Amino acid sequence: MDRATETKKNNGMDLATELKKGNKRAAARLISMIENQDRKAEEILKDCWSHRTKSRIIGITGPPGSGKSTLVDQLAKHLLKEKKKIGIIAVDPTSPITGGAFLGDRVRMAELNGEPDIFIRSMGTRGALGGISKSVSGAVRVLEVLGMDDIFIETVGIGQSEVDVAGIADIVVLVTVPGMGDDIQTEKAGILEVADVIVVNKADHDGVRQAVQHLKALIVQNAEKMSVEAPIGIVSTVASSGFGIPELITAMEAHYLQKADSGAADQIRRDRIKQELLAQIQLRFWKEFEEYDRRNSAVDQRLGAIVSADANPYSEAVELLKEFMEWRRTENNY
Amino acid sequence: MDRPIRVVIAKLGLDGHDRGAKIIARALRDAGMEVIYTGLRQTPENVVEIAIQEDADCIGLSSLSGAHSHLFPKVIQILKERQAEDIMVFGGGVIPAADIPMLTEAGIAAVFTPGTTTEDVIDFLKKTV
Repeated sequence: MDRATETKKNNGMDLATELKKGNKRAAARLISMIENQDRKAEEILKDCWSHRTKSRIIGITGPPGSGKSTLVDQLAKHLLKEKKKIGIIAVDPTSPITGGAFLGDRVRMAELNGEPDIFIRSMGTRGALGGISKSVSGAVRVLEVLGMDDIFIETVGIGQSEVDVAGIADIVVLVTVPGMGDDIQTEKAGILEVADVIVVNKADHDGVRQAVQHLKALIVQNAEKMSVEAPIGIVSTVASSGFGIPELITAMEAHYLQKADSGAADQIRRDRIKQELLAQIQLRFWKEFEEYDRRNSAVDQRLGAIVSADANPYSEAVELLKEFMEWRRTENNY
Repeated sequence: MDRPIRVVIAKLGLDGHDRGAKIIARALRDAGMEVIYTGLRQTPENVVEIAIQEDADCIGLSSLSGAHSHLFPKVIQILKERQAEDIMVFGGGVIPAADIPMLTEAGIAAVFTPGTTTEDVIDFLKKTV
């Protein structure tokens, strides 16, 4: 599909100016451009970088059906009462077969529709496997410029190891439910290691006491080796009725403040920006190399010898890089 | 640039029959589109707001209650008020043939009645968006 419609859809809007004014349509357009890897998005983000608010970024993750969307809905309703502006990025899986996606998180957030201080964006993972999509961090930047106080990132329903949201969020809330397994499950590496607050949702079901006990044992053990500046909180909730939501907000805020006081929050922000910078460098470097290869067929020329074992990929990679750097220095304007 | 079509599928008013809407949503998903499913009982205002925040290319409205003559044109009217009339609107459900000219006149791009195959809807969207 061509993007002749692109210009039409922008309605002549200057996206950067409109975004800074708080125009939701401009924000929505820009997020699409980021998702579609439109290079113009980068120019607009450059322009807006210094206009970001210091939003709190909250990752909500957990298995499918554990109640993430319903919890986000309840949290947003409570925070609206505190006059907060709230952005929500809700990620659902993209089909690896058709590229299509059924984005259904809004169904649980229906009462937030039409609230002027809410912005919700549904996203497909588009091939990413870490529980979010590659465009989420860009979308967070857009919502920061839009002036959101709190930004929720709801991941896809996850298993044990999809921890990408931890690289983007200030606080990670792991939503679990009773009956997910015994204490062996809490011994495993992965998602439990990055959680700041653990929610045992559906606390009106059987087994909630055991689930909380297993988690508490884990935390006590971890606390011995961790700096205890920001211990993990455990909260029981029933998202469908709103039970436990004020306690969850308190636990999130306590954790956020502890992190902020200890300097951990600043460190996380620095690390995150560093990651973004490194990702940009990687991307640019790779694009340049691809251009070099496109013009010189450098990779294909060496491939035959490697396949027939007359050469090996390790030495050839070193040679290729040398040639690329030389080309970059002499032939190019980079 | 290759990118998926983004479509909002919504049901307006008190109409609680969502089986058709879900079948269409699933078919469009399987055709490689990103389908934002809103669930039941939406207002025209909210559907337009959702389409704007989701940067949708089009909105599909499903109606089995007879309220289409009032609610479908309302969506078009609000899109115009929000200067978002570039978002295309199509509809489907139990809609009498006699009502279709009025809906087309109001700006509904297509109306799919019982007997339509999911392929018809997919082809229409791929050609129109």
